[in-house]
Amino acid sequence: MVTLLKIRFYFLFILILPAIIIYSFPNNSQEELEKAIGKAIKSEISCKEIKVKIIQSQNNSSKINNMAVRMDGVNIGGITADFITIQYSSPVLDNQALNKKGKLKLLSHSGQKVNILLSVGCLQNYLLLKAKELGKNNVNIRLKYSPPFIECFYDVPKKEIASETAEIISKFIPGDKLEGYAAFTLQAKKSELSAYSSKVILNHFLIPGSILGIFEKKFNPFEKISAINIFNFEINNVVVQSKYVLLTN
Amino acid sequence: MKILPRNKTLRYIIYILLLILLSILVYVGYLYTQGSQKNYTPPTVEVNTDEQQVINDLTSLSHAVESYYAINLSYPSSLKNLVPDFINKLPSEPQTNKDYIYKVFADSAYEVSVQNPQKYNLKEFRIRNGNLIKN
Repeated sequence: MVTLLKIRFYFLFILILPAIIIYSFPNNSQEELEKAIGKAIKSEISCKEIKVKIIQSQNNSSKINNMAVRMDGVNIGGITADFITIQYSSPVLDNQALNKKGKLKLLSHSGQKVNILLSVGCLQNYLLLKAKELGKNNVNIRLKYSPPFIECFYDVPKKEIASETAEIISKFIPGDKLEGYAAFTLQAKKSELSAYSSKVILNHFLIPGSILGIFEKKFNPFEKISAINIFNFEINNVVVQSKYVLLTN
Repeated sequence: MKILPRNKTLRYIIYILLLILLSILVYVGYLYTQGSQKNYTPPTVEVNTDEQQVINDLTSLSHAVESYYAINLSYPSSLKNLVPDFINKLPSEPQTNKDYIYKVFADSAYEVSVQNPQKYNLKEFRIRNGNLIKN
């Protein structure tokens, strides 16, 4: 009886085995492909972490329906983005280049979506680095995202601002520092970022729109988002959310 | 009236100058009163119609879904997963006060729509993969 049960078990196992192999094979190939793509990207782009997710066609495992790549801590122009995710619909990869040379080459795709996320810390660091680059010290800036605005609380010694700028706003700087508040929005066009202030308070004075207009003309666009190796994209949309600024193509 | 000169033109000029000075003082006073710390708040954004409100809601929900995807590489199973990292509070439809409908299709597409587009005299009122469909 026991032997009969054992034979039945082995028989069943042999019957099920092909199904198990067929079921698990696409997952393995998917994982391998994800790893290979991740490795290829890592060899060309400097970032903290890379995550690749592929959705293969159910009918044809060699066909990719969707490919998403997330890169953490990538430098795009002067800003180090928290996350950059690039999503391709129906991408066709150069398998030879990937397998033999370890290079990611996209032959075609039917759609590309780029999402870049910038946290408060990321933008604050960017502003402080910019200030340092310009030799400005003791610049104290705190940002807060209040969709659709970015709020900025600042405290800057008067000696740290350029003489031209100081001239324009001289009436509003009776003391030795610039202290106040700004609420502004961001706009992107052809990967160039511009800031538009909706409200600026400087040393207890609300700054008139005409003066703000002078600054906007003078300093915009303030940054250019550079596309990263392999992936070519253009940023044309900015959205302020509760914890991130989302830049999209 | 003895302080002012007898010449009519000169008197008018002085009146105008006084008026300009007063306007400047009022304007500076206004700028000063608007600059106190209690005014450290962003400007309010006004929305005129329910339809515009729905478009704003669908767009901000869509952006929040996109951001969620950008981090997790998968779409959220429910809109509730977007709070608080991607949206402060889930909006509800202005006319019915009901939640927006959210659907995910095989983790490669998503859609956010109103409960009943006919309430807005429309056949379709939704956003799919970031594209607004309104007809």
